Formats: sequence, C-alpha cells, structure tokens
Amino acid sequence: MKRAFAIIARAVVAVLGGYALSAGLSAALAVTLPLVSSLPKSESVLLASMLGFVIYLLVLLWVLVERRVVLVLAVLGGGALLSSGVAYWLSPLLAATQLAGG
Amino acid sequence: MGERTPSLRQSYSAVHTWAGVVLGGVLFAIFFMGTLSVFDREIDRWMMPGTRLPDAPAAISIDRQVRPLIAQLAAADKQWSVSLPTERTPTLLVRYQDAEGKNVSRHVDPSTGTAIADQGTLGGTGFIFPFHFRLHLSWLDLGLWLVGLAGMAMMLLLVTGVIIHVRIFRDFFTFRPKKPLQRSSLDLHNLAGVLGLPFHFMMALSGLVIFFSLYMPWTWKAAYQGDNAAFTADTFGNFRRPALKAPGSLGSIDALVAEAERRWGEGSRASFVRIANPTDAASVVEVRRSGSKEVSLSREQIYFDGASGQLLSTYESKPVARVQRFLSGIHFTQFDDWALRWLYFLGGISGCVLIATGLLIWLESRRKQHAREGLAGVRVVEAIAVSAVPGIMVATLAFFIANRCLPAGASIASEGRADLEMWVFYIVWLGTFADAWLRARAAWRDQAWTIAALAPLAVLANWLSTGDHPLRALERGVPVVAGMDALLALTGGVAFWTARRLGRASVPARSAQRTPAVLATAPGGERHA
Repeated sequence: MKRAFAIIARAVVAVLGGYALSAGLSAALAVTLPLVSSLPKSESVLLASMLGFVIYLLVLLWVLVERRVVLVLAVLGGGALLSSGVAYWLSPLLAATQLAGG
Repeated sequence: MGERTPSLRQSYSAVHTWAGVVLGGVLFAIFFMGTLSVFDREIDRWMMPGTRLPDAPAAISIDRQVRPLIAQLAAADKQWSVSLPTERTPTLLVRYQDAEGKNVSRHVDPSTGTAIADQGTLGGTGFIFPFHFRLHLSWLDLGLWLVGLAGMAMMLLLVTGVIIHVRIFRDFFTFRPKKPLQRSSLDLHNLAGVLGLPFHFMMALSGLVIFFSLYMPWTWKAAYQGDNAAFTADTFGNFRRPALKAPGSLGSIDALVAEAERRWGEGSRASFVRIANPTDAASVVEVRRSGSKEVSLSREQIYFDGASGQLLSTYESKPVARVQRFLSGIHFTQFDDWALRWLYFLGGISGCVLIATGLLIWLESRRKQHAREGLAGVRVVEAIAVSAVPGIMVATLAFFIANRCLPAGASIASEGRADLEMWVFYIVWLGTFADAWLRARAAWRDQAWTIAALAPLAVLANWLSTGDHPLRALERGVPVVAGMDALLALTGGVAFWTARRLGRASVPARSAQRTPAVLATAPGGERHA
C-alpha cells in the first residue's frame, strides 16, 4: 500500500510539477528573448514553445529517478514559481517596448 | 527486493514498465488510428463510393463550378470555402453554412460541377483522423490532453527504452519467431523500437509541436498579453477585417487565384480558397498555397479585397516559424509522394507492433506471479490490452462493414447514418472489452479469429455494395480502392496466421518444461539484457 502511494505520488509530482516547471521556463524564455535580442515576438514564442516540450522530457527523466524528494519539490515548485513570476512581470514590459517600436 | 538502492538502470526500467502499462492502451489507439490516417483520403474513397472519381481535370474554375452551387445552397452572407482537388482527392470540397445555420461540407465533381450526394459517413478524414489526435473525447478537450500526455509518455518510453537496452547493437539483428511468446515478443519489441526509433520519436515530438499553442499556451499568453488574435496574426499571418455592413459584390475568384499563383512563382498552385463576408463591401478572399510538393505544412496565404481584387495582405514565414511548419508537415504527411507515404505507413505499423509487444511482454512476465498471488493486475491489464489492440481493430473493421451495409439515409432515433456507423464502432469495441474481461487469455485468439473473418467480409461488402472489386477498381481509374481491399485482405491473412499460432501456443505446460529459464521470472523482473 505504501509502495503504491509512493509510485502514484512520484508520478503525479513528475507529470504535474514537471509540466508547471516546463511551462514556466518556456513562458519566461518567450518573454525574455525579444527583450535581450532582435528576435521577433512570434519567433520567440515558437522557439520557447518547442523547447518547452524538450525541457519537459528532460525534467521527467530527472524527477522520475531522483531519490532526494526535497530537492525535487524545491526545484519543481521553486522553479515554476520563479520562472512564471519572471514571465508575469516581464510581459507588460515587452508589450511597452513593442508599442514604442523597440 | 532487498534494501539495496536500485541502480539508475533499474529505476528507468521501472519508469518504462509503469508508463507502458498505464498508457500502452491509449498509445496503441493513437498509433493505430494514426497509421490508418496516413491513408485517410484513400479510406474516404473506399467509404464514400460517390467520390470514387478518376483524377480531376487540370483546369478548375471556382466561378463556374462552385459559385452557382453556393448561390443555390448556402446562406448568402455567411463565409464559405472550397478545397481544390489534389492527387489524392479527386473532388472539390465545398464548405458553407446553410439557411438553417448548419455547417455543411459537400464533395463536387470537378468535371461536371455537380454536387455529389451526401455519402452519409464521416469516413477516414472525419472519424479515423480526428480519433487519432482527439480520441473523440471533446468534453473539456480531455481527448486532446490525454493524447498530449501520451505523446510525452511516448518520448519518455523511447528514451528509457534505449537506456535500459544494454546490447542495443547486437539485438538489432535478433528475431527468434519460433521461441515462446515472451522471448519472440521481446525480440520484436526491441527490433521495432530500435529500427523505428527516429521515426517514433519524431512523430511524438512533432505531434506535440503541432498543438503548441494549446499545450504550451503561456508562451504566447505572456508574450502577447493574452491577445490570441494578435498572436495568430503575427505568427501565422491570419488576416481579418470587420464587415462594413454595406452591400458589395464579389469579383472573379479565378482571377484572384491566378494572381496569387503568379505571385508565388512558377509552378505553384492554390489549394484552398475562403471567402469571408461574401455579400459585404468588405469581403475578403483568402487564397492558400498548396504544399503538396514539399514536406512542410507551409500554409502561405494571400488576402484580396473581394470586390476590387486589391491585395490586402500576404504572409511569408520567418525562420523559426518555418521550423515549426516543417515539423508539423513531417507529422501531417500532406505531400504527394507515394513512396514516402508507404514508408510512413510501415513506420506506423512498426510503432503499433512496438506498443503491442510491449504489453504482451508485461503480461507474459507477470502472468504466473499474479495468478499465484491472487493479484488483479494481469486480469485488468489483459482486458485493456485485448480491447486496445485486437479490439480496436475489430471495431474498425465493423465500422467499415457498417459503412458498406447501412442503407443511404439510414436513421435510428434521429441518429443519422454517419452517427450509426460510429455507434457500431463503439458498441463492437465495448463487446471486445467484455470478451476480454470474461475470456481473459483466450480473448486474444477469439479476436484474432474475428479479425480474420471480418477483414475479407469488408472486401466482400465493398464488392457487393458498389461492384468495385479490385480489378474493376483498377479499370475505372480508382486504384486506391483496390489498394484498400488488398490491405484488408492482408490484414485478414495475418490475423488468420496469428490465430492459428495462438491456438497452437495454448499448450503452456509443455513449452514451460522446455524453456524454464525464460518463463520463470523474478517478481518485477524484466529481461532487457
């Protein structure tokens, strides 16, 4: 019973937490790239989205075999929060620079 | 299981097993329907006999062949569109909204300009293809999300499969069909996996990439502040403008198509034309370019003012967008190349074999242990595996036979003919699950025999209902119908061979004595070495 719980818990954390981290990282990338380079917004969105799937795969490959539970939760939770925070706060900045013709 | 921490390889082996057992059934359904979808338009010709026309004439006139039909059948002020004939689709496909506001699509014979009678079926493009990416679970987009999860799981399974596969090069050349089921399944699993590895991985990744705006939406939501219209306009060149609410006339569409083809360059063809707000002064004619000579799903389009023919907007994709279109094109296979199409079909079959043998390996390696310990695992997974693998094939064959046997205009309790065909599919599928649950291991044999019987029946049903037996189909200039019959016959043959072999293999005691090393497995043990 304990083993079943452990397996299900790991799967849920990996699938949902990994998705949250990948989504956050790709969103942050999508917003940051046009601000620091000459890459147009649409190109940045496409690149970040496609990379998002690859990032998710790599995260899954790590989380599913990593034994240090605290590390996994910290990286997934902290990383998702941090990266989506970056995306959230930079988003209006990107809109402003685009309007200004930046 | 001792207290020793499992090695990395053992951990990945557990991941591979769990992901495979939990999602194997869904993955097979996706891969099976996907493999059929490679020939979805050919399946359409088989399921819609009215569209079994020889190749369309080279010169198509939308003004002469489509506009009179639209004037007659469609609500005048609503958007309508026409897909031009291709090498694989000999008809014009017209989409419009009728007077009652219902969306209608009709095939039109390009040599006569007459609408072909409603075939009363969804066909390959309407049932089999959408099943592949949506599982017909539209509620809350559950189907799309499940397929997305399965796509990620597929990549995970492939990578972990390589990690746990030690002798990957030596096993490349090993296939021992005469050995007991578990050993030959493993050989076939490894072979299908290794041979098709780039294909399987690219199909999973490209499938996800197609739907990036659904699966990874926070990229465009963050970059475009949630403005979807701005995002699609920027990224895909979608152009729209509001109606002026003043009457207007529509000029020659053929002239606009010709102008678009001139702009795109020598040898380019239009594939699709859409008219927005046709009776308005601000009508827009969208002409889309055919990408049938290339892999990429390029979708370049030009927008014209409907009345004056003035150019409103063109779209040329940027570098990263071209990568996304190329990856989408790799998955969508809309190119005109038969050799490549057949390779995709064979690749898809290898993927189906990969997933099916994976499930078989798990079942055979756990069977004795679960029976001994009274665990339900094997029984449940077996029921799912049997209905997912031979079961879905039985249901699809029943679907084809119903398509040929249901009378035109058939209807039961307001479910039209197309809906009735789907009912047949789902009821038969449920039946295969019941068979699997009740008969357990014997169900594999039951359903192999059922496939062996239904497949030639489908060929017969086509012959009797349309008169297009293979030789006549070739004579009439519709070889794809003969092709479908041939594949059905081949399926029946393989199912027959499998059923015979399963019948012989159901003498487990003797083979167990001969090869105890293979059949006796440690709990949770996989023999991937």
